[in-house]
Amino acid sequence: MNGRGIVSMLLVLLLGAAALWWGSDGFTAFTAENARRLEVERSPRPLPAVALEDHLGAPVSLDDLSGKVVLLDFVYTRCTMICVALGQEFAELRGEIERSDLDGRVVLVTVSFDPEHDGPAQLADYANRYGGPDAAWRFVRAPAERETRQLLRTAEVTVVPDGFGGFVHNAAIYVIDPEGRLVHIVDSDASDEALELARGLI
Amino acid sequence: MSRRNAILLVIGLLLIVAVPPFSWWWEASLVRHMLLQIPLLILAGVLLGAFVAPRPVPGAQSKQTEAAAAVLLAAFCMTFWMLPRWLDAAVGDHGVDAVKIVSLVLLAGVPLGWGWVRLGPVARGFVWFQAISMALVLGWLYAAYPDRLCNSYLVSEQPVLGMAMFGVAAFLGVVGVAIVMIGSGDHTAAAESATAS
Repeated sequence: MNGRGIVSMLLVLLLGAAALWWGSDGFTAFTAENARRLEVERSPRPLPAVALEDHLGAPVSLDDLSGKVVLLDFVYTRCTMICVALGQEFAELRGEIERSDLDGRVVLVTVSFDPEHDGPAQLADYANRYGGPDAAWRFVRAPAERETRQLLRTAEVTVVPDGFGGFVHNAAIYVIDPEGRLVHIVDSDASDEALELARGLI
Repeated sequence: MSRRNAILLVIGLLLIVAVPPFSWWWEASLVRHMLLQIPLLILAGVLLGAFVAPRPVPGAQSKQTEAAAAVLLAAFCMTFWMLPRWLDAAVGDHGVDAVKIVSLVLLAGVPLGWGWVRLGPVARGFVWFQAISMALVLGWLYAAYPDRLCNSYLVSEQPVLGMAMFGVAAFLGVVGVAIVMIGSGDHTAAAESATAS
């Protein structure tokens, strides 16, 4: 034991603990998924104003939806796993919204992150599997690859090729407030929670 | 190992695992990233700390506490980069990846190598034992965790990494026992440094 050794030991303990504390948001977020959810709740972020188009190829802007709460998800239409579950979740959500006083004040938007494959026809096809598009549920894509990436980066969606021609992605429901800011991210099967949050934003 | 050979080995290791675009290949798979690239980066640092940095002087005042602090620093640095979110961040952001590479070499490997050659046999045994239990805990976590830990990797890779971690733990255990059996008692830091230089 000597003075220098003890001082360096204490310094390492202090700095090491501080680094881990900082790197896990005070030991609350160990995964990127938790980290992005916390980050979004702490500081809501505006979605980039990208040019979208719907299942008819008509231009759509998220600005058109300002004043409404948007529940948004990212899918690719060839997906056979999580996006199907998300589709069913959104179909149920649409039913609940249309039966309640939220109709017209909460809008569902499904965004394809695979614009190369998903044209308007594929979007329409995907929409028809869940009862088709209407005012309460829009199906869109950002035709420009660059703008799709911009959207994904803002929402911190990571898309990884699954090696079989499809993708793996961190699916979730994104809650956008009436000012167009991403304010919450919830699990893809937590539609009740998403609806509750939406209600709180109106 | 001579200083010159150690430096050559370090340069070779870093060229293979740390320089893009090769580094990206290592990072494309969770198992390659966690079990090959990161350990090889640490190994490069260990070689620097153990064979290139000044050797412990036999008979000089023992630096056990400094050595323990150095090894602890290495442990903190490794723990940090084992947080799934920082592994993810390193894959998604070249800047973070550069910090990862530099810190694993300089803040994990170098102090580990520098401290290891100064630690006594009991402390070494303790560190070795900790490494085994860490590998077991991580193996269990990755093998059993049902959700995705890293957004950048497929969930199917997690159990593979978990099993590989168990393999690492078993390997460390066998090597540890072998060292204890073969190294018949004279494995003090001073003796080790004398034979190594």
